[in-house]
Amino acid sequence: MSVPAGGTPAPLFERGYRFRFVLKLCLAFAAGAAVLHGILYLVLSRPLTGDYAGVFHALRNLSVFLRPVIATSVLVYVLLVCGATGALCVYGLYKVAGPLYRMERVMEEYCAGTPTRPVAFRAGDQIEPLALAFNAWIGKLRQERQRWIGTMEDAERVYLRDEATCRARMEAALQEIVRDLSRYR
Amino acid sequence: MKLSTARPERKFRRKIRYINPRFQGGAALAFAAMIVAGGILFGGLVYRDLGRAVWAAAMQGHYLMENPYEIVRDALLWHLAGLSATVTCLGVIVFLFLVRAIRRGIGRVIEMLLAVEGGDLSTPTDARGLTELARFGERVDAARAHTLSRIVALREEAASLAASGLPPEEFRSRWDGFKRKIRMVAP
Repeated sequence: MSVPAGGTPAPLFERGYRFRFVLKLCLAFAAGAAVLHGILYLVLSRPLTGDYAGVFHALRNLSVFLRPVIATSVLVYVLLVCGATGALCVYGLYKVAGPLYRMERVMEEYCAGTPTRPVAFRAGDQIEPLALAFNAWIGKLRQERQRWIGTMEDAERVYLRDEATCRARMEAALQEIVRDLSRYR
Repeated sequence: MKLSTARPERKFRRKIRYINPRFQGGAALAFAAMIVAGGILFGGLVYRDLGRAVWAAAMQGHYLMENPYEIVRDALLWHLAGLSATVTCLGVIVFLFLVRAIRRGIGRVIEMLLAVEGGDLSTPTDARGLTELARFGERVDAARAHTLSRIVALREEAASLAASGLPPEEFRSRWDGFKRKIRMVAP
């Protein structure tokens, strides 16, 4: 899909990158569950003291206070895990968003007519085949351009002979270039 | 020869990681929605079951437990395990969907870039999956359209020059101009 003939296609995502992302995600969820359990344990592990009536009232009151306790602990869990996952999305997906951003800048420069250098991503960046495909695209266009210039220069070489021959060669070169350019649609 | 020991001056540049709010923020929102849904479900179920367990223990009359945690421990641990398993599975599914969407969108862009081999510069990329990738596909289309317009202009000029029958001096001047324009393809 993405690379030069003969080579094995580079994957868009490295297996290690996917594994690390999923692992961090699982760790964030596990840490959140541990915190949630810790909060509920702290609240619920207070000893039941006093006589029979005291314990009865403590349990009755607990069922009343259970709603705000659970709501607060779930809120803490949600905030904690959402924060960790958000950070993971920002830092982890930067390996995809960064290359996309750089490619966008390269596209803009290309459209503005600025000389384009081959795109190279940083170590650890994902979607590398995109850079390879873009470089292949530019490379193909440059190769074609060199061929057209070569055709014109070949025609110019006979300039020192007679004028009619030279003109005929140049016109033939132009026709050849027109044929080549007609391939593009 | 005396070597300079001065270190090259390094400018401190803060590395911005949050560069694509729609993409990175959108993914974070998808995960957050799933976590919030899991939390609400957990809260509702735990409130129902723990409330029942505590109420039943209060009504039982034999208070052998030392604290309320002993009453709710089993139910709480089961719910926590359920929450962890559900959220983890959903998180992995969301991540796999994200990877699949990126793969589809970028794969399509790559396919279109490599289509230059067959001379195709006009078929729309139509990168689906994520809005950001569709937008990126439009940028690639713009670059391809820019190249095609340049090539079409060159083709027309080459055809007109070949059939022009201009006097040698003028022909030569237009020939040189044409050559300069060719050099502007993929600079």
